[in-house]
Amino acid sequence: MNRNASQRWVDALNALKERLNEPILWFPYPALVAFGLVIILRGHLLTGMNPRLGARVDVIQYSGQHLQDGGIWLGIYPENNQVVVVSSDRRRFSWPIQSQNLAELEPLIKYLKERVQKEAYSTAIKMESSLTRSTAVLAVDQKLKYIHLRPVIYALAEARIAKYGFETRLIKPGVVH
Amino acid sequence: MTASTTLLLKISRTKKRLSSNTWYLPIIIVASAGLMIYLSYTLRAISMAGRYALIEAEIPVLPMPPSDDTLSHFQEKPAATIDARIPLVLLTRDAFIFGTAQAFAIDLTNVRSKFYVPHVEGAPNLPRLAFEMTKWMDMEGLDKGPKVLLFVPTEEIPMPIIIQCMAALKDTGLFEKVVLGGGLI
Repeated sequence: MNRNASQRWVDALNALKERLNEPILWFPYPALVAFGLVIILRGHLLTGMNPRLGARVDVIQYSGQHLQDGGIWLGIYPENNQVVVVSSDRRRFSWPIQSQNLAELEPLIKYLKERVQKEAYSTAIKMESSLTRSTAVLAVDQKLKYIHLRPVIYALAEARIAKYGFETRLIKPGVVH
Repeated sequence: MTASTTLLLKISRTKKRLSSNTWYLPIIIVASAGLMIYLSYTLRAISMAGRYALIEAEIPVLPMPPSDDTLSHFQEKPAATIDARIPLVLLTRDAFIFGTAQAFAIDLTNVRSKFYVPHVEGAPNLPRLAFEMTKWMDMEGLDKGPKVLLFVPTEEIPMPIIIQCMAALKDTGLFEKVVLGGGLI
């Protein structure tokens, strides 16, 4: 019995030796694929990422003043009886859709204050100011009503943001609606 | 040479070709490069933003400029001031109601200080509102004041309608700044 067991060990070790002696050509490729994916994600998603990715916001189509780069982008949409606010840097805030409690807005207000402070600091360091950088851009889902947006405007006012706007998707030239 | 011999020869050649694995490496490299290029284009297509516009609104602030004790004594002045004679448009489910801010505050019960523009088949009648407001502001001399509008929709109005009304009111040229109000009515 013991002899059979030891023989099995010897066989397994021999098989392992034989396998390790065989040249394995494929072993660098998983690492290469992972490296390539990291390069692609870094190039296309992490830097200059479209803030609208992942936010389930369906904004209206309307022509208006072309949206300049920069600004504090906030996507606002309903989800499971909650009003969800997502920011361009992937922060997420939510509160019940029927909520009247202003305390639930505190995380959003704190985040907006930090963003404004950051923009002010950046403006002071660079010694150049841009109105678009401190403008809040609200991408509001079409399903929302005014009562759902009022807390967000309250949060903007609390964070001392006086200028904001509603994002609309520009209609392509030549398309008649 | 018979057909079977030709076939056997072909099979033998194919076996010989396939037995050599020298092509595996280039194939794997080309396939990996192709996959990366495909993923790169796909992710770029997903992450590209469309073209977007901004319908601007403002939140009024109380001017409290800090004192400048330097030689220049710079003092910041407000671009516009909201007072009792600022036009106010109330948007309800049935109609636009417009007047001055005073008409919706001190003179709330006075029906002669407010004007009513009903919706047409549930849709806001913006051309008529612009027409009536232009006439009214001209008569009252409000067109010479600050081009600020207080726009107060009721709670149940959908956001697309509010955004379109704000944009249309700014497009009339009567107003440069729109203040979205709420909680008053």
